[in-house]
Formats: sequence, C-alpha cells, structure tokens
Amino acid sequence: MKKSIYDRPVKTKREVSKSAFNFLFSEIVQYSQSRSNRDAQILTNQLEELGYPLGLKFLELTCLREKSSTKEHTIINMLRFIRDPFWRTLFNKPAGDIEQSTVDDCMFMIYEDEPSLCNQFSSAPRGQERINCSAFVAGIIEGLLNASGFAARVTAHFSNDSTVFLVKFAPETIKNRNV
Amino acid sequence: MFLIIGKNDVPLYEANLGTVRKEIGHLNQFIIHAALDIVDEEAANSPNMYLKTVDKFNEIYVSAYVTAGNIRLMLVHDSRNEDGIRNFFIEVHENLIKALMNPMFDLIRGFSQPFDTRVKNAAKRFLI
Repeated sequence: MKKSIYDRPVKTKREVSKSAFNFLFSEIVQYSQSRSNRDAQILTNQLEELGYPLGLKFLELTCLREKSSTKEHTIINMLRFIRDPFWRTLFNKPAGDIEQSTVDDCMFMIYEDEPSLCNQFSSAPRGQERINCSAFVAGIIEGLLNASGFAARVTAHFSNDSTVFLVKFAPETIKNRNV
Repeated sequence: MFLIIGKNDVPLYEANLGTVRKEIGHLNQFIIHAALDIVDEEAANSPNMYLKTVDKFNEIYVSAYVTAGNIRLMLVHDSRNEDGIRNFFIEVHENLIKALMNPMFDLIRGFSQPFDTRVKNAAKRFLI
C-alpha cells in the first residue's frame, strides 16, 4: 500500500537549509511584487495573507510537540509561548524581548535580536524602503493568535536593522484573557 | 457517535463508532449540540485539552477535547471509560495534525479515507 502522511512521525523535528528557504521565499516575494502594482502596502498585505493560514498549523504542531495535551489561555503565557517554543520551531532560537507599550495597554512589541531570515537577503528598491518582508512572519503570528482565540492584529516594522513585531490585541481580549 | 467541529461550529468529520449501544438516531446530534456551549465555556478557562465528561443526558455522556486551534472533538458514549477516551482523543488529535500539515488539505472538503481508517482503528483499540 502507498505510504500516506499518516504513516510518518509528526513529533520528530526536521530542519530545512537556509538556502532552500531563501530560494523559495525570494520567489514568493517576487511573485507578490509582480502582482502588487509597485504598491508597498499591497505587497505587505499579500505577504501577511500568505503567512496567515500557517499560523493554525504551527500552533497545533508546536503545542503537540512541546506541551502534550495542554494549551495556553492567558495573554502573558501565549506571548511566552510565541517567544520560545514557537520561535524555536521557526528559527531554531528564541525571540528577543517582549515589551508592553507604555502608551497603549493593548499593544505588545516582540523584538528580534538580529536581522531575521526573511530580511537577510532582501533589499527594497529605491522609493520602497518601507517594505519589510517579515510581514510574512507577522502574518503567521496573527494567524496563530486568532486561531487560539485571541483577537489581534500583528504588523512588522523596522527598528534600526532588525524587525519589531507590533501585536495589538482587541480590548475585549485584554479584558477577558488577562487572568 | 464521534464528531469533529471546527471554527464557527462547522462539523468537519462524523463517524458512528458504536459507543452508544442503544439505537438513539438523531438524538446524538441534539446531545452534542447542547453540549457545545459548555465546552466553549470550559475550554476558555482550562489549560487542559481533555475536558473529560462535560455533559450528561439520561444514561448518555458527552466527552470533549479542545485543541490549541479551537478544533473540538466530541464523543457521545454510554459507559464511563476516562482513560480509554483520553487515549482515543490524543490519537485522533495527532492524526488530525498530520492531516493539517498537508498543504493541499482543505477543511471544507474534509478528511480523506486514510484518516477515517485511522479513527476507526483508534476506536477499536481504545473504546471497545
């Protein structure tokens, strides 16, 4: 009988080479750019949309591997989960610091220690310097949060050379899940 | 009766596993439907995926398991068998994730034949 996806183990971790990822990712960015009409906002949205459906998959997979039959249900634990097991699944290292905004209680910032995989080999054309290819990762995080019941919007921005992810939770989420 | 329910209460998969010996027909559907609110309430306050028995209707019990992505697995049964049901849910959850990992997988179109076989085998192993 033909081997199906169900015959393969799901708990063992596999790695993909950086060059393979970047080769594929560069095609994704080029494809999105060719359909974006040279508009930075459309390109960013497209990258976010591509990442979004992966959020649910990463959430389920990482929870199964790291947490065996438990899940996170408070905001603070969810952010910790994103910082370590989730970031480690994606990039093989934990994320940098997470801070809560002093201006807006609903806003959290996830910092990166060094330029991420998505921006390492991409330089925006002149006049489009606002494009941050980590929008793809922002989309994954947004998909992950929404799938687990936290209404949030996630965007990627440059701070110096590395990226900071702005996570803005809906006020109801902050009220209900801040236990 | 075993049911997998996705986002917005859309049923994704249904199987009759012989866990209720009496013939109760569509009463199954009503029992599961009535238990959904309790499941949502408990899932929001519990870090555990396995919620044990959440509801009871005469001699019929409903057990539930809620994954991290809020996919609900619900089983209607008439005998108490907590550990067996836990193992069954964990086995189905793992297969569910394998199905999700397939990039061509589409929740609306549902699960394929091999998934169905896996669920039935798990039921034979843990429930009967």
